Amino acid sequence: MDKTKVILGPFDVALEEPVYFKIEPNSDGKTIKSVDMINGFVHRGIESIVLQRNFLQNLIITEKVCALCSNNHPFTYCMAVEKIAALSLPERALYLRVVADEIKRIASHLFNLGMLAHLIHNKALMTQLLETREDFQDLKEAIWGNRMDLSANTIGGVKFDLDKTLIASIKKALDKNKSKIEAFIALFETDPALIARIGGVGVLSYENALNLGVVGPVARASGVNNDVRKRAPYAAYDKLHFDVILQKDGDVLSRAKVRLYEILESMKLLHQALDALPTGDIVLPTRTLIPEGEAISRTEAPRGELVYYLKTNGTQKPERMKWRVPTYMNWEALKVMMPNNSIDDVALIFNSIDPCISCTER
Amino acid sequence: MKSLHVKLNEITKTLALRCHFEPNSDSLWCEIADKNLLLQLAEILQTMNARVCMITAYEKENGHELVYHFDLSGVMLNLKLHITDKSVPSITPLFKSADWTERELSEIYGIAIVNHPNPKRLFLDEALKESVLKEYYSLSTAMSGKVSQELWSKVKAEEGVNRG
Repeated sequence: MDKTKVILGPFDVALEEPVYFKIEPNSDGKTIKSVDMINGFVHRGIESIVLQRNFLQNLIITEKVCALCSNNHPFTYCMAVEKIAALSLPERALYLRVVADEIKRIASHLFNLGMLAHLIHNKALMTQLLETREDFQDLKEAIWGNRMDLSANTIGGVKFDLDKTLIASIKKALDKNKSKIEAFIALFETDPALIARIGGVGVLSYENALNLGVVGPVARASGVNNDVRKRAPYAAYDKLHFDVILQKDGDVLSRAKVRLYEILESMKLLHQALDALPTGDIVLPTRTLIPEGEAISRTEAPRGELVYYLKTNGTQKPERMKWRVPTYMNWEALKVMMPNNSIDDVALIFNSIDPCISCTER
Repeated sequence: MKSLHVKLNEITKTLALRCHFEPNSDSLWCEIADKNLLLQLAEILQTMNARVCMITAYEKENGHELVYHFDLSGVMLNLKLHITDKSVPSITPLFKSADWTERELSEIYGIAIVNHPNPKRLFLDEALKESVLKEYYSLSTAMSGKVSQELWSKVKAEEGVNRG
């Protein structure tokens, strides 16, 4: 048998995000023996660019790192700036941050599940999932005027407010879609064809998940609980009740189930946040100069833990700013998930980590 | 959570580290200047099931400051290490989670990572020199996927080499 390698990518593996897979097949020619990945196709040097902009301009740059986590980047960045400037935010702003984040999470999870359905050629399921997501996209458009980049956060608070009509429309969207999500869960829990197709594929064991330091739904599908919202609460999460979703099998099916159940938890969080929404300001009334200092902040993005480090020197530009996105940790785990799976499933397994390459390479 | 704080306090005391907790005590900052101490600490942290979140570096007069961000069940331990010779021992043999972030250190700052099990470039093309944070490259030269005439001529040249 010759040692032919299978090459996939860099373009159009699962998403339009580029990764170059070099796969060495087993002797049967159908399954994967080992996989090597080449990265760096969308590295843009954003960490250098942010050093040339001031703190307000960087709100916009951080939002442009990635579309699907575009709320968490400015959010976490703001938290770091606020820590250095020792700002304490109005209560209402903290709750509104949770609202923006959870709506974003629901839409993001549904998008990933839609891609999963697409990759297993279940077009009907894909349509249903993306139609459900559409309601949340419309909601974003109604509240923030944008369907992807919300521009919800600013240093010292948020840039949007919710009136009675908007709160009612959020609740309406939640009520309308809750039963749909439950129906999807029933499908993923019981449908024999679906379970046979994605169950046992791309397994990541609990030990490996711990060793590799994976985060987000990928970690929780392998039974590792590192949900930042619970472990190191921020914004208003310590005042709200929700459960961390854990599964044990660590396969593509478990990762899909974690995301589905998490949508229900996000709905719970949204209801609570909207009901308990305090009155008052949404942003601090005055702008502050940012003193010298350093801070680290983190949030739970839809894909997992997002970490920002910021160092300032008293000027109005950062001295060093670095961030680490969830896919950065989950990517290397593909080398463990893929061996002995069918070569046909590379895209399916790749999609199951909810990859965000433009985030990772910056 | 509380026992973790007690344990962390014990460790920092026995090793005589300069440390302080942030007011809400969800992160701890420590400073060291000894690379051996880094490895010693990393070994202790490994037994406590820590996870490497990220390693940041920045330039400081006569050297670099590295900040290792470890997660310990929700508490962030930020360990600062000052180096002057652009080299640091790898902690990837202890923490698989440090693999990428260490490679990025050498890519962006040209810091040598001693004993790294897989010291390949992470994102940048081999043709670029190391330590590039403040350099300007056009996007088409910085990205490793140069979809251009240049890439094509590289492929053709390699093909020529393969065929002897």
